[in-house]
Amino acid sequence: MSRVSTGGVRIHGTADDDEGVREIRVSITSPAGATAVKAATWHAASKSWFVHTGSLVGNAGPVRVVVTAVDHAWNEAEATLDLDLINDTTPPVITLGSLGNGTQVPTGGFLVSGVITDDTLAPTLRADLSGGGLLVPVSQDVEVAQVSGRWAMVVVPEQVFGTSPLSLTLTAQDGAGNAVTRNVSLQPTDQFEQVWHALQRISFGAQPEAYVAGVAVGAAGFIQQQLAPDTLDDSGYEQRTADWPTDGTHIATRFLRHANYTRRQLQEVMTWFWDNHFNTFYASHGNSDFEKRETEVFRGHALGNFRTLIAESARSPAMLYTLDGRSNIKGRPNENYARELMELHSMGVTGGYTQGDVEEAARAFTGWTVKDGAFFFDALKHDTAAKTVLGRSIAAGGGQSDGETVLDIVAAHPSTARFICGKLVTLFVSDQPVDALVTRCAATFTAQLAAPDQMKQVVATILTSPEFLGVAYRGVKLKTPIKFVLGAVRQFGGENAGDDISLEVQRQGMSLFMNPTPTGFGETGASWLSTSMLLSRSRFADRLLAYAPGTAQTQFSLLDQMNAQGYVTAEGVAGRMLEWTLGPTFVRRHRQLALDVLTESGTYPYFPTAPDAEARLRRLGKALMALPEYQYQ
Amino acid sequence: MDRRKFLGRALKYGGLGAMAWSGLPTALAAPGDRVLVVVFMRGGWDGLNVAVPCGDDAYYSLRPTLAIRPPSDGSPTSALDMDGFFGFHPSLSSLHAMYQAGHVAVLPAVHYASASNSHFVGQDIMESAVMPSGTTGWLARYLMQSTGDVTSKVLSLTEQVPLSLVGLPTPVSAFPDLGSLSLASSQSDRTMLASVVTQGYGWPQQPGNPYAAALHGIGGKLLGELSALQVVGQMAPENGAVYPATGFGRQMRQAAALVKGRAGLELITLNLGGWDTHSGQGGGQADGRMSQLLAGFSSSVSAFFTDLGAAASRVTVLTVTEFGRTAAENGSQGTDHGSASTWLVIGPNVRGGVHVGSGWPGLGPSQLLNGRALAHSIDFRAIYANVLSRCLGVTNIAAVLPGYSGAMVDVVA
Repeated sequence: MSRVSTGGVRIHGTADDDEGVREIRVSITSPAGATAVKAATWHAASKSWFVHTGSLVGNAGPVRVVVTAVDHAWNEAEATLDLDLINDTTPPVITLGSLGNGTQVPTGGFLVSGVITDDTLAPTLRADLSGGGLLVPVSQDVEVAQVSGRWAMVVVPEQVFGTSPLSLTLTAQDGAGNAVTRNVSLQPTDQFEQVWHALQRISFGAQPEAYVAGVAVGAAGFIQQQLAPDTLDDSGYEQRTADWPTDGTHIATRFLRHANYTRRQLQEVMTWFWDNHFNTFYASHGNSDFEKRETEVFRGHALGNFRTLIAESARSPAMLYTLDGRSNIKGRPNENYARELMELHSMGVTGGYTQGDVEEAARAFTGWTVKDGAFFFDALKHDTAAKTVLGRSIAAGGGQSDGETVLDIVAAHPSTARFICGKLVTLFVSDQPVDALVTRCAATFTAQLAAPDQMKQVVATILTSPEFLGVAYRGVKLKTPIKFVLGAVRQFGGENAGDDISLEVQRQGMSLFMNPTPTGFGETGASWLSTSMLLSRSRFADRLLAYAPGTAQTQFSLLDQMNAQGYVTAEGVAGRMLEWTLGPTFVRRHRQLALDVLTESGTYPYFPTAPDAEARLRRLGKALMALPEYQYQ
Repeated sequence: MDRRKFLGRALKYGGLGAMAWSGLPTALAAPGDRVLVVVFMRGGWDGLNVAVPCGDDAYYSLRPTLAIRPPSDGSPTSALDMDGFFGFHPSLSSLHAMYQAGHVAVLPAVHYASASNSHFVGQDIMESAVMPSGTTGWLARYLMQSTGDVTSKVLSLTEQVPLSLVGLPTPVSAFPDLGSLSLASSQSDRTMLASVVTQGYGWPQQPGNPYAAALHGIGGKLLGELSALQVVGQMAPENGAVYPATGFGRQMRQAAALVKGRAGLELITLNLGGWDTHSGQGGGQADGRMSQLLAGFSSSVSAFFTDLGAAASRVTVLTVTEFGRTAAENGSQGTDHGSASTWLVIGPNVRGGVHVGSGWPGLGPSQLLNGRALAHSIDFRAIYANVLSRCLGVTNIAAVLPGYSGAMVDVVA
């Protein structure tokens, strides 16, 4: 029997009736025999009710609560609950979770949590916050879960905490007035924001576990781990693939699952970068193996050598179909590949080549074709006359080596170093040019031309730069559709992601492997920002978090995660959802909005055991995904 | 005088021979009350197989497998005669019917000097209308110097705002499909999300974020646009118009609904892609790659004007492309990036017929640009200047087309 003190207790439950519920009455009979009757608040949408008993007067003894539900036909049903009113003389005990004096916390919002234990149900908790650059101390009541005593508090600055210590004083009091106070001094630090930023840029979304692991080693440590993908244990991903009977029916599903579930996130971001850089169009050949093989090759060389990458692309059947190389023959050459090789794959449109260079390069690649599903050099179709490409002579009588020489020339061209580095700086740092960084990056590119890990050193130049981890470029890039979709799946812990996710990325304008435009998809915000983008993101969130168990859709169990992690109060689950979606970057207004959505502006408490708890969490997820801050990375 | 030169001279005046209307309204709306619909043919439209120069013998020797037979052949794969020299691709039959009624101005050699062979540079030049390409669009510059609320004047039926409309403080609204404009499937979630959008996009912008102003601008007008456009998106076609079941067909149906239902509308932009025909382009056969695209375009435009009925007199459709293609076909039964291409101006208020400007540049070896592509006889900005003036009532052309002389080709009445 639950023990209560004179402060009383909140009671909640559900009711249902085919006629509809008219009212819920609660009668409370004290040990002395006095009975008080209260009307419970009825929340029709969720068929649940809640009421506070109010103060329980008198001596210790049994308290009987009788709940009566009345339907619209005036039929009644009753349920009873027996409580034990005790004379409580000992104060509660506050447990602070993992917090201690000096614990490091973000300079943005964060969640603290713990447990209050007491002889009776329903102790209260007040928090006082000062220091940390706060101009005015903040005082707030913190909800304590009635049975488990679990509490959580969303600690938020107005804008940002300063780096002076933050003092948190917690005062717990039971219903009989016994109180206890604990104080802890917390240290705001930028480390959390750095890790979050790195995850936003070099992964497909900050999975909560990855964020925690990243905080443990710091941003620089996390980056070094990601730069060495082979040393990262990816057995979790391997185990998942064993459960997948097929790659799905959508051409993008195999890759998107890999991107979603692998721990080698930077490798996968770079795999996609090359796949998009050397864009190929599935419909030009209709052979999904061509695209899959290409992706695997790019994954293998994601942080490898550029000359190797460009050659793999040049000889890939998917590319030979997409840009018509397979029908590029002597006498009537097809310029398509030669032009895009220079314009899009290496030197860039202002890289210094001419129409004449395009025509000569096209001749050099004559005879590069596809036979039996693989690259084949057809010497009979090759133009063996001399060529001049970018001022360099290619002697008459050559064969496949003519094309290889063109690849040598463009891969080593200074314009290529700047063009590739410009794209990578845009990918990782800023849509606005950061010329000094591009210059340093291009120097690495050129110095490491022959290195097997050339691109690893180039990427490392960017990721270890002061520009990358500095504050100026945080949160200023817009998420591309693939980042928006995978990010949500990863942050909310989506399981069984498959064809539905491929379709969602496509609906937002990124039909992976099916882009007929040879540039690939744009990386900058200007490529995506529109009214249509906001609308389609909202509709995506609505579908993603629709509750459809048992269907071939990505599955979420937000409530199970919350319960497993001990977040059972409105503030706890709202704070955790904020952490999942915005990391350490949320502030006071976000906390208020999240609580308003979750509790219907304070009119409907959150009950983790109510049938609508999962639906409420999902609804909050949809709301957070619509925020301007969530559009950025 | 050889045949080609003779025809070229005769063609200089071809544009003046517009015929009388039949079927569509003749009372023309005043500039300022008109709507300009710009369709960008992305990928490089092979103008030589749109307005086929059947009278230029070189065309047939340059394109052994892709050439469209002259109208005199009389087969279903032959060109549809315009003026004895040019003929439409046979898949443009409904457009040809509009041409015969005088509703189509055909400009077979449009481009600019020292052109780029890059799709992306070329598209940026066409959309910014400055050289080298700029960061604001020619239509955006018109909107910037116009008076009144911009929002209702323009809609882009695309996922992203095209460069032609970039440059306004709040981005122009862009929706690829007006049929699905709900934020969520349930009413309660729609209400909740509307409230979140109202709050969230009313919050202060992140300082130093280059996208903050635009994103907040979009979020701030999103709910109003959704409710206004939902009504338009539900409007059914009229006058028995039947659109093809393609994305472009649906968008042209919605464009007609916008003309009828969005008060104050002046501009619509759309994209039609798939024209980068380096291989397997197809000739006059109906099942060819380019033929199918042309047929979808032609029947969509025809249905659009039928649907508009009385409103058609207010509307002009302009097709734009970044470049034409090589005069000769390559070894892949396709064509590579060329130079001048065909542009079309369509509607009851155009001066129907063929407009070649300074004359047909010709396809002979000495006439081709760099020996490979059709030269231009009309600068694309001469068309922009004319539609700006006649459709949008612009008097200060220089403000919209900086660096351009202002000369016009007279295609819109």
